[in-house]
Amino acid sequence: MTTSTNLTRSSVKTISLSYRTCGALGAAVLLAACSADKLDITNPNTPTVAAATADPQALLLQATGLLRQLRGGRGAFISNTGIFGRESYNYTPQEGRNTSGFLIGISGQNRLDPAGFAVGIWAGPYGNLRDVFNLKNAAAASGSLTAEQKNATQGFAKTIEGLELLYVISTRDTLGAVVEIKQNASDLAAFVSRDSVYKYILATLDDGAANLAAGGSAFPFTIHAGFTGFNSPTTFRLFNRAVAARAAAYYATSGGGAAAWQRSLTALTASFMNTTATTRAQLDVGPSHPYSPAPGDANNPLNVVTATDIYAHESIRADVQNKANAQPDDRYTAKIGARPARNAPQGLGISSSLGFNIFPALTSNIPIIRNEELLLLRAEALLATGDKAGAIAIVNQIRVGSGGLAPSALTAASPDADVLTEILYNKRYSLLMEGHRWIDMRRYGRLNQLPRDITTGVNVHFVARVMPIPQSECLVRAGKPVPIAGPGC
Amino acid sequence: MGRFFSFAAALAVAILPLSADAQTRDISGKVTQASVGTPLSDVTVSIVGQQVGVRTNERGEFRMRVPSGEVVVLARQLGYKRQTIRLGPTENTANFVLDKDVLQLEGVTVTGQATVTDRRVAATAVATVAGPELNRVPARSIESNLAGKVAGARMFENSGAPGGGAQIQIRGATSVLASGDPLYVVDGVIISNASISSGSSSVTRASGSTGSSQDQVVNRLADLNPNDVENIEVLKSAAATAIYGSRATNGVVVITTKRGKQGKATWNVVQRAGTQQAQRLLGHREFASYDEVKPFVGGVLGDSIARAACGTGPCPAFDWQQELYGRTAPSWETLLSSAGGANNTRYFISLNDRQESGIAINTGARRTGGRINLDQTIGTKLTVSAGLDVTRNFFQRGFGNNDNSGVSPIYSLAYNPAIIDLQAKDASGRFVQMPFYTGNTRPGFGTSNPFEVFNFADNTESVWRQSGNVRVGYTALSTTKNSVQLSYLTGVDRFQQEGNQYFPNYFQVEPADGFLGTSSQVNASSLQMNQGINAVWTYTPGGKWFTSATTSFGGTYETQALNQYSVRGRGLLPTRKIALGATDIAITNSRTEFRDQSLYAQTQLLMLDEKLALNAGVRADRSSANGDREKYFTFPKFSGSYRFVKPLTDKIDEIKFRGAWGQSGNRPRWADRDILYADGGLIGGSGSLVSAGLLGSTTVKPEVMNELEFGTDATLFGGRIGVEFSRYQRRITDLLLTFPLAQSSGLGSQVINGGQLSVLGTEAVLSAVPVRTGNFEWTTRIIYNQNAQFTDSIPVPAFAVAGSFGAAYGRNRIQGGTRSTNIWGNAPFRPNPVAGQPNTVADTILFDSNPIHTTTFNNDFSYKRFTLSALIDWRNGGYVSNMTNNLWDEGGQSADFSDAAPSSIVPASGNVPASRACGTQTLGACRYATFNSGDIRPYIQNGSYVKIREVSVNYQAPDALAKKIPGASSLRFNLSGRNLAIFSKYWGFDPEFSNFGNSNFNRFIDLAPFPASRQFFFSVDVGF
Repeated sequence: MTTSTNLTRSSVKTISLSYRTCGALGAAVLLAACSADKLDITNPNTPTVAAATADPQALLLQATGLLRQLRGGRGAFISNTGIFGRESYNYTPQEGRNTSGFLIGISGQNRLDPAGFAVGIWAGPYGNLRDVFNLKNAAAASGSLTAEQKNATQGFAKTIEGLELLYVISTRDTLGAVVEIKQNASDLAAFVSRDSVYKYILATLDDGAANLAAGGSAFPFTIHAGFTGFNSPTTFRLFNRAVAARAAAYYATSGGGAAAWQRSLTALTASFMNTTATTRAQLDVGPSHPYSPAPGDANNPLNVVTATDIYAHESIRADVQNKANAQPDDRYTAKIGARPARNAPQGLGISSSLGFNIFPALTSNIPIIRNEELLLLRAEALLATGDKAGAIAIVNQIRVGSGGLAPSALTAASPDADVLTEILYNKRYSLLMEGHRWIDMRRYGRLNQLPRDITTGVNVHFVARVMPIPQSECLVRAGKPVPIAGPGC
Repeated sequence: MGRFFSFAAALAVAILPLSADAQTRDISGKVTQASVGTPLSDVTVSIVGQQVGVRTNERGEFRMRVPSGEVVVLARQLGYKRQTIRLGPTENTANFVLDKDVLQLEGVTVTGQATVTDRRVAATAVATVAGPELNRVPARSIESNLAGKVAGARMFENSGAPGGGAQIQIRGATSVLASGDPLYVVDGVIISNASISSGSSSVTRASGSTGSSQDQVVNRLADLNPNDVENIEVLKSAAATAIYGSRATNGVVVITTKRGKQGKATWNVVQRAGTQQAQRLLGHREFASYDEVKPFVGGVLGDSIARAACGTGPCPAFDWQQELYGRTAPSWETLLSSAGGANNTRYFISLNDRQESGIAINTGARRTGGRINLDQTIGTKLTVSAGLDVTRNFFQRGFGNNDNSGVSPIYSLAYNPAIIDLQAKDASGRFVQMPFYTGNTRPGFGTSNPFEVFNFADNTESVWRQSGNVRVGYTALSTTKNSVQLSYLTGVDRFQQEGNQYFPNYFQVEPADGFLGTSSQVNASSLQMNQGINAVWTYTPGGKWFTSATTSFGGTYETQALNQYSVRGRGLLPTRKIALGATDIAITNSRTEFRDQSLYAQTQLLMLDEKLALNAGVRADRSSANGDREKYFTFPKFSGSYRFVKPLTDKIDEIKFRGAWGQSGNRPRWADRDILYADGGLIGGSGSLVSAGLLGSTTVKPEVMNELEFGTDATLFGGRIGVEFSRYQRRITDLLLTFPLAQSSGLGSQVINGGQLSVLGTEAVLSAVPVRTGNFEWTTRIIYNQNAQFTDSIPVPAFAVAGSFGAAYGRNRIQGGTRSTNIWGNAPFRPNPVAGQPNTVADTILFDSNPIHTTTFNNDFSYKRFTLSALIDWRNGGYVSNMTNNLWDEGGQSADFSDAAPSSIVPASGNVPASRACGTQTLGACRYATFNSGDIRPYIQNGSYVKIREVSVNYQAPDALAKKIPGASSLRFNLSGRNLAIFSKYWGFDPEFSNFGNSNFNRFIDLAPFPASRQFFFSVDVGF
C-alpha cells in the first residue's frame, strides 16, 4: 500500500527518473531498452541544418540551392505573367481556376483573389532570399574562404537577391514588397514602397558587382552549365550588370525617371550586351536554366511535350507583322505552332488552337536574360533619353535579325509613342513567353490595350494590374501597425 | 543481468513477510446453464477478489485449492451472469447455475497493462463488443463490424471500394496535426493501422506525387480477421487510456482473440456465399434532343457523334454507372477453426479465406490467413502463451476519388453525356474512346472510357502481414491474502505492402502528360515491436470493508519503423510494366522510426463489500519523437465508483455512480523535432540544399488531453433493463500546431505546442429485454452519442485544416472560440460597403459537419431456433461537402440537372439570406451558377441518414439434423445482409465517404468516390 500511495502522490508533471530506477525495474531484456541512447535516432531522410553546415560540401550545395530555387520559380513566373499579358492560357481540363483565377478573379470585382490561384511569385522568391541570407552569412563567417572567395560568394548571392526581388516587385508593383530577411523567421519585416524596393535592388546589385570585381578569378564553388561564359566572378559580373540594366529600366518607368534610364544605360555598357548582334546565336547569348531528366532534377515546365495544357493566345497570330514575302514574322513561325483546338472548362476562356514551340524538349533551357532583351532595353532607354534615332536603329536591327522583317518605316520624325509601340511589338515577339509582355504593358500604361476575351456576364475578364499579396502573408500581419501590416495587405 | 538479480532479490525480501500462510483444502463442483442444464466449459472459478482461478472442463467440472476457513467462490464467463457461493469451513462442493447475460452487464474491463477489473465496479464507461455480436454480419474490415455497436465511437467507411478503408473516431477529434487514430492492441501487441497509398495517384494524378491520401487508401486494420476476435474493448476516457500514455488520446481499442478451451478438440467450419450490389447510383442526365446535348459534346468529333446518335428525336440514354457498377459476382468466405486443450496445453487455430467481389469488373479483395494461439502451463506457477497470425491481403479497388487525368469514373463521366454505348468496340476490337470532353477532331486526353480502364489497367495492392506475441506469466507468490504475478510480454507486428499500377500506352489519357504508358510500384514495410514487464501484487485481506488492493508496476519499450519506396515510370516500351528504362522516372523514398519507453505504476482498491472502487495510477513516457528525448512526460489518472445495491426500491437492482479524471498524450509526428534543410534537388548534376518550408522545434512535446468523465450505470427490473449514461469533457492542450511564418520570411511555418481543443459529449445506452416468453425473446439496445467539438484557443492565426479544396468547396477551419467541426466556405454574407449593392463573398461558417447526434438501434429477436438481428443506424445532421454533385452539375450531367429549380437553391432562414434567384435556370444549372457566383451552399448538403446496417437471420438446426453430417455436433444456417438500405435526401452515394480517407478534420469531402454497395451472405456453420 505504501508503494502505491507514494506513486500517486508523485504525480508531478515531469519526473526525471534516473537510469538506475529504470534498470532496477527491468528484466534483463528490458535493461538495454531502458537506455536513453536507444531513443537517439538520426533523421535518415533529410540532413539537419547542424549536420549539413558542418559538411565540407555545404558551400557548393548552398550555392547550387540558390540557382535551383531561382529555376524553381521560372516556369510559374512565365506562365502567370503570360496569362495576365494575354500571351498564354493554362487549360488544365480538371482545374478551371487556372483560367478563372487569373482572367476573372473575384467575379465582377475586377480584382484577383488573395486566397486564390494567382498568388505565386511570392513564397518562392522569398524562400530563395532566405537561402541568399544564409549563404551570405555562411560566407561571411567562413574560416576557410579567402577574402577573394568571400567577395565572390557575396557578389553571387547579391546578384541572385536582386533578381529575385525584381521578380517580386515586377508582379506587385505599387503594392510594394518586403526586402529584408530577419534572422528570426517569426520577426516580421516591414513592407516598403515600390520606390524603396527598386532602390534596394539597384543598390544590392551594385554591391554585388563591386564584390564580384574583387572576387578573384574563380568562385569557391562550381556553377552549372547554364552559366557557361558567366561562371567566373568577372563574367558573372556581366550577368549582374544585365540584371541591373533591367531593374533600372523598370525603375525608370516606375518613378525612377531619367536618372534611372541613365543607370540602365551604364549597366548595359558593363553587361554582356553585344550591340552588333544580328544572328540568332548572338541574340540568344545569356545565362539560362538547364533541365535534365535525371531523377531529382526537373523537366522544363513549359516544354512542348508535357506542358500540353499551356496554350497561346490567339491575338499573337492576329497581331503578327508579315515579312516581305507575306509570311509571318520569323519569331512567330519559330515560336508558335498549331494545336488541337481547346477551350478552358465551362466557358472561362475562349478557345485557342495555338501553342508554344519555344521549348521543344523536356531538357530545353529557359533563358534568364538574353542579349536580345538587352538590346531592346537599350532601345527603350535611348528613346526615353532623347536618342530616338538610336532607338529606331536597334528596333530595325532586331526586326531584321530576329524577325526577318523589313526595317520599320519609323523615322526620327515619328511620334515617340509610335516608336515605343514598335519597341513593344519587338519585345513581345522577341521575348515571347519569357515573362515580359504584361510587365512592359503596365510600365507604359498600356494594360487597357491587352485583349479581353469575355467582356460581359459573370465570367467577364479583366486585366490584372498587380498580383495580390497572398492572404496568408496578410493574415500573419493582421492587426499590426503600418509598415508591418501594409500597405500591400 | 546483475541488475535483474538484485531486483529479484529485492522483490523476494519485500514479499517474504507476507508469505507465511495457513493450510489449504480442495473444493470441487460443476457449472451448468440455467433453465437448460447443459454443463458450461471454460468457466473461470476463483476466490472473490483474486485475479486468477481455474477453468471448468468440458463436463463443466472444476477442482481448486482454497484456504481453510470460509471462502467466497465466484464462477463467471463472458455471456453469463456471475454467481458467488459462500462455502463454510466444512463445505467442499460448489455447484453453480449461471443465467445468460443478455444485457452484457458482466465481463471485465482493462485497467492496466496486465490488470482488469469487473465491469460492474468499473469506474469509467466500458464499451465491449463480443465476437458473436461483432460477427453477426460479415464485413470488409473490422471497423464496419463495429459500426453502431460502441457508445462514443463513430465508424466511417471511406468509400465503397472492396476490401476496407474505414475510420474509427472515439469521442471526437483530439488533434489537428498529430495522429487521429486510436491505438490498436491485439493480444498485447500494438499493431500498425497505417494508411499507405498504393500509388493510384500515379495515374489519376490526384496529387502531383505517386501517392496521396486521396487514393482510396486501405488502413491496415483491414488485415485483421474479425472471426478470430473473442472480444473488443474500446477504452475511451483518458482515465482508461492513461495506461497507454502518449499515444492514447484517440482512445485504445483492445482486441482479444480466441483462445483454446479445456476439453476435447472442437472443429468449426463455416462456408459463406454471397454477393453484392450497388446500393444507389447517381443516374445520368437524359437529353431530349441534339440541341440540348450540344453544349456538352466537345469539338467537331463529339458533335458529329451526337448528331448521329440523337438524330431528330431524343438522344439515346445509357446508364453508364449501372453498366460499370452493376456487377453482382459471387463472394465467398471459408472459415475453419479448432480449439481444444489437454493436460497443460490449450490451443486455438483458425484458417480463413475471404473473397469479396467488387461491383465493378476487376475489383475485389481477398484475405487469406491463419492464426495459432497457444497456452501452456508449466508446473503450477509458470504459464506461457503465444500467438501467431499470418495474413495475405490482396486488393483490386479500381479507381475513385479525386482525379486530374480523367480516370476516376464518377469524376470523368460527370463531363460526358451518356448518349453512346461505351461498351461498344471499334473495328480493331478496342473499346470506343470517349469522344466528348476535351475532344475536338479526335478524342481528348482529359477523359477516358472507364470500361477500357477497368478492363485493362492494373491497380493492385498486396499485403503480407505477420504478427505474433509471447507472454510469460509467473506466479511469484500465492497465499490467501497475497499474490504476486510477474509477467513479460513481447509482440511483433510486421507487414509488407506492395502496390502496382499499369496504364498501357494506348490509353486515351496517356498522351496528356506527354509520356505514353505509366507504371508505378509502391513498397512499404513496417515493423513494430513492443515489450513490457509487469508485476501485479494483489492483496486480499478478507473482510467486508476492504476486499482487495491490486497494485501493479512495470515498463514498456516500443518501436515502430516504416520504410517506403516508390518508383513511377512514364513513357514505357509496349507491354513493359516496370519503370526501368522509362522516359521519365520518379522515385520517392522515406524512412521513419519511433522508439518509446515508459514506466508506470497503479493501484486499484475494492472496498465496502465490493461497492466502492478506487483507482489511481501514473505512466511516464519518453520518446524519440519529443524534442527532449530524455525527459519523461507523465500521465496520471484517478477514478472511483460506488454501487448502491437495491436502493430505494426492489425494482432497481443496482445503481452505480462513477467519476474519472485522467490524462493521456499524443506524441509529436516524425521529425517535428528536427531543424532540417530541404533537399533542393538536382540542377546541372549537382545536389542542393535549400531552406525547408517547415521549421521543426527542439522543444516539441506531446499533446496532453485532460478528461473528466461522470456517469451512472443502473440495472432495473431483475436484469431486464440496463441503463448507462456518461458525460465527458475533454480538454486537449499543448496542441501540435504549425505557426505560419510570413511567406516573406522565406520559411513556411514552424512547429509549436499550444492552444486548446475541447470536446463535450454525452453517451447513453439503454438495454432492455422488452419481451421474454418461453419461446420468444426480444432484446434491444439503443446507443446514443452526441458531442460538440470546439477550438477554444490557438496561439496561431486561424487556419484552414490541410486536406481540402479550399474555401470554394468548404473545409474545417481552426479558429479560437468556434466549433472545430464547422464547415467554412464562400458565401455572399458580407454586407457590401457600398449601400444597395449585393453582399460580397466571404469565407464564413456555413454548417456543422458534426452530426447533432447518432443513434443506433440493435434488436435481437429469438424464437425457438430462429434469431433475427437488425442494426439500424440513424445519423441526424452532419453536413457534407458534396463535390461529386458539383462535378456533375459543372459537367451538366446530373440526373436532376433539367428538373425545375426552386426560386433559389438555399432558402432564406433567419438572418441568413437566400442564395441567388434561379430565375429560368434549371435545378443543376442554378446549383452550379450559385456556386460559381461564390456561394458554396448548394453543395454543402445535409448528411442525415438512416441506414439498415445489418440484418441477420439465424437458424440453429436441431441436433438430430446436425448429426446427419458425420461427426458433426451442431449446424447453423445464416442469411445476412450489410448496408441493405440507406434513407437519405443526400445527393450522392453515402454521406459517410471521405475523399481524403482517414483524417481528423475535413472528413466530409465527397469527391467522386467508388459507389457504395450492399452485401448479402448465406452461411452454413458446422461444428464438430
